[in-house]
Amino acid sequence: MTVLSDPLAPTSAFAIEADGLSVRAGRHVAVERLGLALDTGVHGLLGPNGAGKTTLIKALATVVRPHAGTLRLSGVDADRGDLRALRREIGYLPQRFGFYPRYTAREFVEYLAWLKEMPRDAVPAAVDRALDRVGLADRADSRMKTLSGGMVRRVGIAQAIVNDPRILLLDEPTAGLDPEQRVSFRELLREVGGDTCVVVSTHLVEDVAAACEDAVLLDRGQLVFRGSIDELEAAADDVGDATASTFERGYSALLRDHRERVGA
Amino acid sequence: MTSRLLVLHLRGRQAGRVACALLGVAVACWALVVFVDDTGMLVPVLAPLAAVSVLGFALGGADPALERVTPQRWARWRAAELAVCATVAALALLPAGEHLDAALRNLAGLGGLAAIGLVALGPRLAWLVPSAWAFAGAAVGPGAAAWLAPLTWPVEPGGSGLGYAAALAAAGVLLHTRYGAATPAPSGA
Amino acid sequence: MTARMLALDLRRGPAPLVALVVLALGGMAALSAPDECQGAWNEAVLALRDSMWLVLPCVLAAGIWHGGRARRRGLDDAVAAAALPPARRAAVEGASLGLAVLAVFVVLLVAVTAGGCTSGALGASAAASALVTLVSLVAAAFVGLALGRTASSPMAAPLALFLVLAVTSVFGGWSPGDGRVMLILPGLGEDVTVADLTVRRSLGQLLWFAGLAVSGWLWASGRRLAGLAPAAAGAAALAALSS
Repeated sequence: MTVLSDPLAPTSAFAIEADGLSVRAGRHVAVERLGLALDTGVHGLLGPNGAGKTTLIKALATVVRPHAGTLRLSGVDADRGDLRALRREIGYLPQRFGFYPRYTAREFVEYLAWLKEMPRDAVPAAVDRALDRVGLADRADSRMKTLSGGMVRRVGIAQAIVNDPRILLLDEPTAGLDPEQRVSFRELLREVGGDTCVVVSTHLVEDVAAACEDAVLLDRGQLVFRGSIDELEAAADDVGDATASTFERGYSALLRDHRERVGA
Repeated sequence: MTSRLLVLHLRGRQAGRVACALLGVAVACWALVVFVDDTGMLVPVLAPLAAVSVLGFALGGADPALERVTPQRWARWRAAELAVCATVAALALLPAGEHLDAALRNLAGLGGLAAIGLVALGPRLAWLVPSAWAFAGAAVGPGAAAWLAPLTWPVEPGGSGLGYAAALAAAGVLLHTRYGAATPAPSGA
Repeated sequence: MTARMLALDLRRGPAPLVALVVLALGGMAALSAPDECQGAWNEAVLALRDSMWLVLPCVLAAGIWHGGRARRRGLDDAVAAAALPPARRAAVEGASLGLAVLAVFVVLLVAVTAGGCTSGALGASAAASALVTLVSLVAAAFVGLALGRTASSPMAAPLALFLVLAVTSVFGGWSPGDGRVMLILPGLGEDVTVADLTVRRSLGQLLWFAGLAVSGWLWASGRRLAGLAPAAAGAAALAALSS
C-alpha cells in the first residue's frame, strides 16, 4: 500500500521551533541563543527598537540564515531542508514593503503569488479573495503609486495571505493604518489564526493585546518573556506613566526587570 | 538652518560616489588621449556626457515642501550648486587636450540638458535627456543636413554649434533654479 | 502563469522604452548610411549591424536597470523569501527585453529596405550576420540583467553604458586583417563587405553570443561558477571556427 506523504506533514507538534537560535544582522548579533516553540494561533512579538524582532522575522521567513542553533518550520529543518517547498507555505510581510509603482494592486499580488509558486488556476480567485479580505476590492485595479501608505500596507497584508500560508509572518503590519482599519485587521488576524501560525511583530502593545493569544518579548536579541496576554497584563506594577495601559505597564515592567537582572 | 544641513547630509552621502566617478572620467579621458590614436567622438562627446550624468545624481532630493516655503533662498542655492558642478566638471575634463574646446562646449550644452532632465525626471533618470540627445546626434553623424544642426552640434568639431549649446545651457539653468529637481515616485511603505 | 507574468513584465517593465530607443537609434544610424546601402537586403543587414556600436550598450544598460529593479524598489526581502527559483524570474525578465529587441529588429530590417524594393536575394551569409546581430543584443540584455542584480547603485546603468560605449566606439568590430579576438564584438570594423562575413565566421560569433546569453542568464540566477561554462564554450567555438 502506497502512502502519499506530505513533505510538510509536521513531524513535531509545533509550527515554529527554535533552539539556541542566533542570527546576525551585518556584524552585530541581533538574535542571541533564542529558544522558542510556536503553534497554531496568533502570537505577538514585542520589543523596543533594536531588539532583534525584524531579524528574527527574517530568519523565520528564511530570508537570512541563522549562524548558530536550529530552526524548524513545519517540522522541516530550515537549514538543510528543501526551502522551495517550505517557502510556498510561508506568508511574509516585510517591515519595509517595496512595490512596483506601475503595477496595479491586483497585478502586484498576482506577481507575488507567482513568486510563491501558487498553482496557476488558483491565483485569480485567491488574489480577489485576499484583496477583499483587506478591504481593497474596489481599488484592485488602481496602480500602486496611486494608493496611500495605509493601502499599500494592506496590499502587503493581502500578498502575505494570498497563498493561505501555514506560517504567516507580519512585521509592523499596522503601520499607516487608521484606527478603523486596525480593528478590521485584528478581526482578520483572529480569523486567520484559527488554522495558521501567525507571528505579528509590532511596537503597538495594544494590537498584540487585542488580537494575539500570547506574546513573546525580546530585548537586545534575548528572550525576556513568553506567555499569555493575561500574564503580560499581570506583570504590570504601579511604577510608570499613569496614562499607559496595563499592558504597556506590564511590558515596561518586564523589560525593566530583565535589564536589572542582566545588569545592562 | 536644519533644512540646509539635511540637504548637505543627503548630498554628502552621494557626493563621495559622484566624486569618485568624476575622477574616473578624468582618468579615462587622460588615458584615451595618451594611449589611443584616433579617439573620434569619445573625448569631446562621451566624457562631458558621463560627467553631467554622474553629477545629476548629486543634485536631487531636496524636500519639495521646504522648497515651496522659501523659493528665493532655494533658487540661489541651486544656482550656486550648478556653478560648483560646472566648475568641477570642467576641471575633470582638462585632460582632454586638443579636444578641450569641443568638450567644454558639450559640457555646457549637455549640462543644460541634464538640468532639464533633473526638472522633468528627477536625479536618478536625469541622465537620459542629454544621453538621448547626444546619441541621436552620434547616430546621424557629423556633417549632416543643416536642418539637423540642433541635433548634431555635440559631434561637430569645436567652434561650431556654440549657439545651440549656450541656449540649452541657459534653459537648463533657468528651469533648474526655478523648479528644482523632481522627486522620484514613492516606492515603499 | 509564466506567460501571464511575461506579458505583465512587457506591459509594465522597461521593454517598451527599450524598443523605442533601439528603434530610434538603429533607425537613425541605418538610414543615414550611404545611399547605395538602401534597397538591397544584404546591404541593409550590414547597415543595421554597423549601428550596433551604439545600440548594444543601450540594451546592456536597460538590462542592468531591469536587473536592479527589485533591489531598488525595496522588494529584495520579498524576493529572497520567494519559492520561485531565481532562474525562472531571470528568464522572464530577460525574455521581455529579448522580445522587445526582436520586435524592433524585424521592424528595422523591413524599414531599412523600404528605400526601394528588395533587390537581390538575402544571401546565406547576410542572414547569418543578421542572426548574429540579434543574438548579440539578447546577450547584452542578459549580461546586463546579471550585472544589475549585483550592482546596487542606480549610477551603475549609465556608467556601464558609457564604458561599453567607449569600447565599442574605439574598437568598432572586426575587419579583414584584424586578429580573431575582434570577432567578440558585435559591430563591424572598417571596410567590411558582405563577402567578408562568411557563414563560418558568423556561426562562430553566433555560438559565442549565444553562450554569453546563457551565461548571463545563469549569472542573473545566482549561479556564478556554472555561468562561466557557456561563455567559455562559446569563446572556444569562436576560436575554432574562425581559424
